[in-house]
Amino acid sequence: MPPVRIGLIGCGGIAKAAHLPAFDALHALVRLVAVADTDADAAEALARPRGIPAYRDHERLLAHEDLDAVVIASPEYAHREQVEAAAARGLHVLCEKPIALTLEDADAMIAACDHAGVRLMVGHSRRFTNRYLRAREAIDAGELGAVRLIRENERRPRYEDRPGQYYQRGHWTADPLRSRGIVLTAAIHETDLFRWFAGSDPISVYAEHHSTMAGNESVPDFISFTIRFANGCIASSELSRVLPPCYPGFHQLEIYGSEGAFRARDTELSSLTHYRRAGASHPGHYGILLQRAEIYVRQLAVFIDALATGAALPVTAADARAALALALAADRSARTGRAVTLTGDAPA
Amino acid sequence: MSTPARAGNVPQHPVRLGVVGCDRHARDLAAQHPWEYPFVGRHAVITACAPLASANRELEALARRTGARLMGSWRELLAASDVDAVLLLVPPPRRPELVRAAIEAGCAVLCPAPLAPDAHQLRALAQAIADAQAVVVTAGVLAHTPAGRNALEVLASGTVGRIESAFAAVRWHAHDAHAGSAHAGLPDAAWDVLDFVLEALDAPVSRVYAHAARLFESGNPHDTVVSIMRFASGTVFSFEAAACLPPVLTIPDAGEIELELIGAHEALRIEPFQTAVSVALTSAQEGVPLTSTPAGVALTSAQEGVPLTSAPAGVALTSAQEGVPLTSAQEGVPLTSAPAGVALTSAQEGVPLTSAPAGVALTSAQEGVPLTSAQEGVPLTSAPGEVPMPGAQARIERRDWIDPPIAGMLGALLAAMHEPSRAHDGIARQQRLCALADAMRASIDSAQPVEVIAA
Repeated sequence: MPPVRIGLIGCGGIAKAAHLPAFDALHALVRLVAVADTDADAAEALARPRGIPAYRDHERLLAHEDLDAVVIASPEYAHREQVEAAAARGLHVLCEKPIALTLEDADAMIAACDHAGVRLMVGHSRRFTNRYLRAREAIDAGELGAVRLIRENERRPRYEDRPGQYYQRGHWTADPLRSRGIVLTAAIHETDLFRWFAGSDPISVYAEHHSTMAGNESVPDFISFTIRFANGCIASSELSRVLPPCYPGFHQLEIYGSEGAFRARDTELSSLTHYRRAGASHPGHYGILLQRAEIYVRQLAVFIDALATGAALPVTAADARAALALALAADRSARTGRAVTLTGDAPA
Repeated sequence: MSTPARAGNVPQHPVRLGVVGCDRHARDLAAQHPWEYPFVGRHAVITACAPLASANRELEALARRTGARLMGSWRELLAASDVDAVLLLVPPPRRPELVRAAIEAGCAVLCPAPLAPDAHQLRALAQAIADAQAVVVTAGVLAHTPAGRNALEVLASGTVGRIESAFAAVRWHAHDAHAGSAHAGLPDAAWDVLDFVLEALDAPVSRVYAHAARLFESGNPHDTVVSIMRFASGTVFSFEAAACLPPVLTIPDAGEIELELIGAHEALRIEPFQTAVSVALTSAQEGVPLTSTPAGVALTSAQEGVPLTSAPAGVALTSAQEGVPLTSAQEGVPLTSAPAGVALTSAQEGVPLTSAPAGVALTSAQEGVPLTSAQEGVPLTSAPGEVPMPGAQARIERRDWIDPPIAGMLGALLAAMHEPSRAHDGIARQQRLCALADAMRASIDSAQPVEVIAA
C-alpha cells in the first residue's frame, strides 16, 4: 500500500515537537507532502530541511498538492475554516484539539466531513498516552471497581526566557477574540478524559478561573473545576501552564474506585533536576513523562490505520464535541459564578 | 483550681498539662513522643491523662510513659489541683463543652482546630472565652509543624508574591469508620488544613462551592467533599477530602495530606507525611519477580518476612522492623543507600548496584552479574513506573508526621499564657473557619455556590 500523502497545516510548537517526529517514525506509512502556515518563516523552517513545499495558507496547499489527508496543528480559532476546506476537497482530517471554539463550529465541521464522506479525528492525545491507556485498561478490566473519584491536576511553569509563551501579550492565547483561555488550550484534555474514565454523562459542572500572567488581563490562564456525573462519580481538575519558572511540570492523575486506585504523580517520577541560582527545576519533565513522541506516533498510526481499513476511530468527532461542550460549560460556570446543569452534551 | 487561668497568670513551675483524649487523637499524640522533647520537659509536664468516655489503651500508654496519673474521667482531671492547662484531643462536637468546663475549672486550654463544630456554637463559645478572659489557644496542627511554620514565614516575607491559587487534598482510609464521622463528614485533618489555608491566605473567603457524596464504603453519609473557593484577594482554592484510599495505599487511622500554594513568583508544596511513607513490596510467591512502583524501591531483606523499605527520594534505606539490620545476600557485605538514588552493594563484593531516582530499572553495574535477593531464586528487579506487580503485595508500613507539631503547639500555649495579647490566638480565624464550614454545608444543600459575607 502506498504511503498516505499528508499535508500539514500549522507549523507551530505542537507540529514541531509532536507531529513531525510522528511522521518520521511512521515514514513507511505516511509521507509529508507539504506544509502551510500563515507565518511563512515557520512554514519554511519545517519544509526546507525536508525538501518539500511551504505555503502561506492552507488554501494554496490544498489547491496545489495531491493529498490523501491533512493534519491540522493550528490554533482552535482556525479549525473550522481549515477542516471545511479539506473536507470539501475530499481529504481526511486529523485535527488538533479542541475541535473548535464553539459548538456551532464543531457541528459545522462534523457535518462537512460527514457530507464529504471523509474521516475526522480530533487529537485528544491523552488517549494515546501510556498512563491514561493503562488507567482505562484497569477500569475496563474491573480492577478499580466502579470509578468514584477522579482528579487530574495539570501544572506547568512559564518560560519567561522563551518566545511564544502562552498568555504573553501578543500571543494568540492572550487575545480574547481568538482564545477562551486555558479551558480550551488545556482543560479540554481533562473534560475528554473524565468522560472517558467515568463512563457516564456529566450532569453538572462548577468552575472558578482567573488571569494570573503579568500583562494578561483578559484571558483566563488558570482554572479549577469539578464535575458530577450521572453515575455519581465526581471528577475535578486544577490547571495552569504559567506557574513560577522553577515549578516542575507536574501532572497528577488519581482515580479512586470502589475496589482500588490508580495514581500517577509526576513529582514521584522526577528524572532530572536542575539546580541554579533561581532554584530547582525539572527541564523537559512533563515531556519525558508523557512520552510525547510515542503518544503522537500512536495517534497517527491509529488514524492512518482507520483510513486504510475503515476501522472505527478511537476518538470520534462526537467525543470531541462532547469534550468541548463540557469545557464550554465549565467556562460558562466560571464566567457566571453559578454551577451549570447539563443535559446530554449541552448546558441546560 | 478555682481561679480561671488568665493571660499573664503564669505558674512559676513548668506548666502542668492534663490530656483529655480518645483513641485516635491520643494515639496521634503518643506517636509524637512529646516526652522526648527537652522543650517539653523544661516548660511543660504531663501530669494527668483522662479518657473522654471509656478507658483506652493509647491514653494509658501515654500516662505510663510520661509518669502521669491516669484519671477516671475528664471531670476528675479538671478537678485535680496539679493541672494548669488541658490539651483537648477530642472530636469537634465535644470541644465546646470541654472548653467551657476547663475555663470554669481555671485551666488554660490548648485545642486543635476547629474549636466548635459550627459557627453558631463557636460564637457562643467565643463570647464565653472573652467574658472569662481565659487562655484558649486553638493551635493548628499543620501550622505548628516546622514545614507549616516555615511556609508561613516564607509567605510573610513576601517573596512568594500574591497567592494566585491553592490546592489541598486530604485522603484517608476508605474503611476507616472513625474518620469523618465527627464533623460535617470531614476528618479533623481536613479542618486543620482549611484552618492553615485561612491563616496562609489571610483574606476573607468570598464564594464557596462544594459538593459531597458517599462514594466509598466508609459508613459516613458524606465521605467525599470537593470544594472550590474564591477569596476576596482573588485566590482560587481547590479542596478535596475523601475516604478514598484503598488499604494498599494506607493504614487505618492515617491518611495523607498535600497542600500547594502557588504565588506569582514562587510556589510552596507541603506534604507532611511524605517522607515517612514507605511502600514495601514483597514477593508473595517464590520465583515471582519483585517489582517496584515509582514511589520507592523495595527489597526483601535477609530475614524472611521483614521488609526492607526505601523512601521515595532516595532517603536512607532502613529496615521496617527496628533493630533488624539490612544485609545483602552475601554475609558481611552491607547494604547501603545514598541520597539521590538508592545505591546498594551487590552480593558480589566490589560490584555496585545502582538505581536511578525515578524507580527506573535496578541493574547491576557489571554486565552479567545478577542482582539477587536474600531469598534464593527470587530475582530482585525494579521496573519503570506503572508496571503491574503480579504476585507482589504493596502496603504502607508506617506513616508519621515528618515534623511532629506537638512542641510547636505547646509553645503556642505557653506564649499565650505569658502574653495577654496572644491569649485568644486563632479565635477570630476559628470564626472564619466555622463560617466557611457553614457555607460549604449550604452549598452542598443547594448545589450552587454560596456568597460568604464577612466570613
